Amino acid sequence: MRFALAGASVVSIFVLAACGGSPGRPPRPMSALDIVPAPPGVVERAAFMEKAPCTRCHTVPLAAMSPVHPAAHWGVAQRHAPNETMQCQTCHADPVRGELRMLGGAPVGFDESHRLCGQCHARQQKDWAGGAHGKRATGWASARVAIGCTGCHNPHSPGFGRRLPAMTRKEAAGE
Amino acid sequence: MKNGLVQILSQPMDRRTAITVAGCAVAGAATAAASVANAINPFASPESREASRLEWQRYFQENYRLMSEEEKTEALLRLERLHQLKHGGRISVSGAEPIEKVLFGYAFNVSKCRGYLECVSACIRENNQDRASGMAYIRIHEHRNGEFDFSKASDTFDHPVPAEGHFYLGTQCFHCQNPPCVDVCPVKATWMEPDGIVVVDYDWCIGCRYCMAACPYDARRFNWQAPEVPEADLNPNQHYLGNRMRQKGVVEKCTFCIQRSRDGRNPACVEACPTGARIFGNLLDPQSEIRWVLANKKVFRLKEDLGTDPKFWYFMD
Amino acid sequence: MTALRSFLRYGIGEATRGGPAYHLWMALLTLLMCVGLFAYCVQLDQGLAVTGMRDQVSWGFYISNFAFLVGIAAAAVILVMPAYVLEEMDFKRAVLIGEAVAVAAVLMAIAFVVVDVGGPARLWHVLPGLGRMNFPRSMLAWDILVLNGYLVLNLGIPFYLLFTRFRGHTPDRRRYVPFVFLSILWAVSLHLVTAFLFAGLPARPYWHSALLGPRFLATAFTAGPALIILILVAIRRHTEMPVADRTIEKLAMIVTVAAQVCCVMSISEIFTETYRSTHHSHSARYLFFGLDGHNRLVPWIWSSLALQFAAAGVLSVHRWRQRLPVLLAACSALVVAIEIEKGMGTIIPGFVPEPWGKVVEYAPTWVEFAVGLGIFAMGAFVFTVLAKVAIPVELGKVRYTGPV
Repeated sequence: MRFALAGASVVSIFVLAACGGSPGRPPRPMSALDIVPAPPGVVERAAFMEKAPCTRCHTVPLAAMSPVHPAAHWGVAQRHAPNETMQCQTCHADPVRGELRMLGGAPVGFDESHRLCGQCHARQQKDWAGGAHGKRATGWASARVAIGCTGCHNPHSPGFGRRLPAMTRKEAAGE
Repeated sequence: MKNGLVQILSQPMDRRTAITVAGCAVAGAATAAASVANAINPFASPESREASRLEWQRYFQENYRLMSEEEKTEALLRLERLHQLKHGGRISVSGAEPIEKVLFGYAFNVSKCRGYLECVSACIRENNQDRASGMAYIRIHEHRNGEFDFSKASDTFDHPVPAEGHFYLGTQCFHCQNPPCVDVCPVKATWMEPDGIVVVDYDWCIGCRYCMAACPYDARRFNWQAPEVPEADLNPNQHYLGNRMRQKGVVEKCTFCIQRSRDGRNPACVEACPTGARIFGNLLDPQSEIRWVLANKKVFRLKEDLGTDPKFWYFMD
Repeated sequence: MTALRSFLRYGIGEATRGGPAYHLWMALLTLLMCVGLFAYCVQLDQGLAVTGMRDQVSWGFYISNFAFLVGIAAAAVILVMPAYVLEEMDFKRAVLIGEAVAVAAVLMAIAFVVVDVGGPARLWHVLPGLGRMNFPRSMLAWDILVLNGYLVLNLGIPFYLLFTRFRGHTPDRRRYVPFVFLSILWAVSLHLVTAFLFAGLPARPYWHSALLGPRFLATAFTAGPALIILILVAIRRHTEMPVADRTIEKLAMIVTVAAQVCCVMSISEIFTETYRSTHHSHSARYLFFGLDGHNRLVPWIWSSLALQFAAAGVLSVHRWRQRLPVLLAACSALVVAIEIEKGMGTIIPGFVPEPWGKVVEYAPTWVEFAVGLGIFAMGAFVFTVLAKVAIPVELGKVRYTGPV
């Protein structure tokens, strides 16, 4: 029982910490909010994206290209934000050089989607960096390697769909 | 008339009705002795004799927590050998001890869960749960928006998810730091390991189910019949206190996939979740994700008023 | 030693001797025990899946009867105390019967626990010394100790008294009265501990109540003496053992008061659970009124309450209580009412709804009924043997005459 109590107090400390400490007490030397997780490693994707070399077609700025191949991106539907907010060029560099760009125009790699997406989705970015959003590719004990935004979300249509559950739960009690 | 009955009662007569009872008792004892008989039967095959001998040793083995190192090793090897003798296949039964300075904790993101049940399915496969009875450790409750009443939530939905106007929340064993189930066990067959995982010694459990009555979270499951897992679906990577095959008449439960978590991996449910709603880690490591969630999110736990101190938190984005 | 051997030889002889009615009765009980044994074999073979119990309602008919029988066993003390301590001579004869009832009830209670566990072969894990008993944390460990202790006391005291009388001596008060005191305390704690087994579980709000312990005692002190009255009247009719009217009257008084207390407690419970109903009242609502269309227990509990209130009312009128047929009817009603209330009305609703609010109803299967029947037959068998052996010794009809 002594053991269980000792354990219980350990957990309670975390809970207190999570609530930011109780009022009336002097602030702790290091509050829980100061605990910053190590920046995660990110699962590489860029190396596996060779199937779509943009530069094969996109050799001149978009404006200079004739709209003869509207079907070239038939598999891509922009269901991310209203068209007035986002177009292809919001993320894709123009003239297309097979890379992405930040809103300010700076180039950003395909493996750094968290920087690109984080421009709008700051809260998700913070949660992801901390570990509350997304998934890690490694177990709990290894150095943290997180799956980047595009590892789970299709950037063109980032929502998760509606589908049947993976299994049917049998009615309990053998019904 | 007064005393027809008394007269009859006092009339001497020697007959032993108890003989039938004795016969039945002998029949019962015979059943119990079958495995011994088989073990010494010179006509039984050597395999079945060895299996009977091992079952006999297993029957008399000590509570796992009180075994010496040698006894533990013996018990693990015995299980591997028994499986080979009975089913032909090979399994590995680990007895991995808790890792120093580790206390496991779990967080569940209510905003992220969408009811896909990938976790439930992965859990059943990972933990070799009885397929026949449809046993599952995890329950995903489908709540209507605006309500937080479990009695009105469904955990047997089979329509496309997420359903319009609903949110999802999963329950399983919360690995309470002050577990009521452990207190009530009359034989110390269930306990909390130093890394915080509440486990059951399936060979010590007598199946009284007092722990099930004591659990406020419906975390424990009973093998009402002999559990069945087709050999082809069996997960051969097992732990003595985790996903090794249970027998009829014992209690089992979520062990945070002890066979994985003590190996540095995440539980199957965490790995299977397609939306990243499940977060697992070491509460004693200030750099862990679980600690970040506890420090930066508004968290809550279920039925905290019962003083169980669960190591399982819920939060929202 | 010769005296002891002679006593045992007399006991075995007496138990296996009797008229056709006696043999018929014992054969019937044996048959029922065999039916129970057969059902138990089915259960052992296929697992507890053959019962109506499931993960949601994980205790049922077996544990309900266990709770009821522990109460019957505890109630034997009602006869012991006045007889031995207060030297109430009227009770002295009846007390042996009371203790035989206690022994039979404890054996049945233990049997109901044994058939309930999933691994009866591993039951040696609870034995002190051999196994690893979780004492003092687990209330079940307490219950195992208390039940077995009570069994030993209730076998030991009558054995001492009868054996002394068998040898033609007078029992020495200094030797047995301390144990009598102990058994009185033991009986009360026996039933309290059984109540604590349930009341100690905050997970089940229906049981987690300070009223549960007292309620267990009150129902036990109603049903126990009521059953003993029925048995005493039967014994008076069918054997040579005299049972004074005063004994019956005093017992009836005890039953009456206890039944009144039971009624007060029922009212108190119904009020608390219904006036401002909370989530914690779901079990009580399920029991008394049904929940979400599930109402299997409703007719049972209201029948039980109706019987209880009617019997308590009838017994409260002195003139009615003093009429034997009325008394017997009221006692039978109380035994049935309390068996229903303690079984279906106390244990099962604790599990309904399950911890996350889902209602899964429970109904016993034929296996549970058959096993239960077998256990009750076993209890009746044990009681018959004990009473048959004890009565002639108590009446002084059998005496040891050989060397000391």
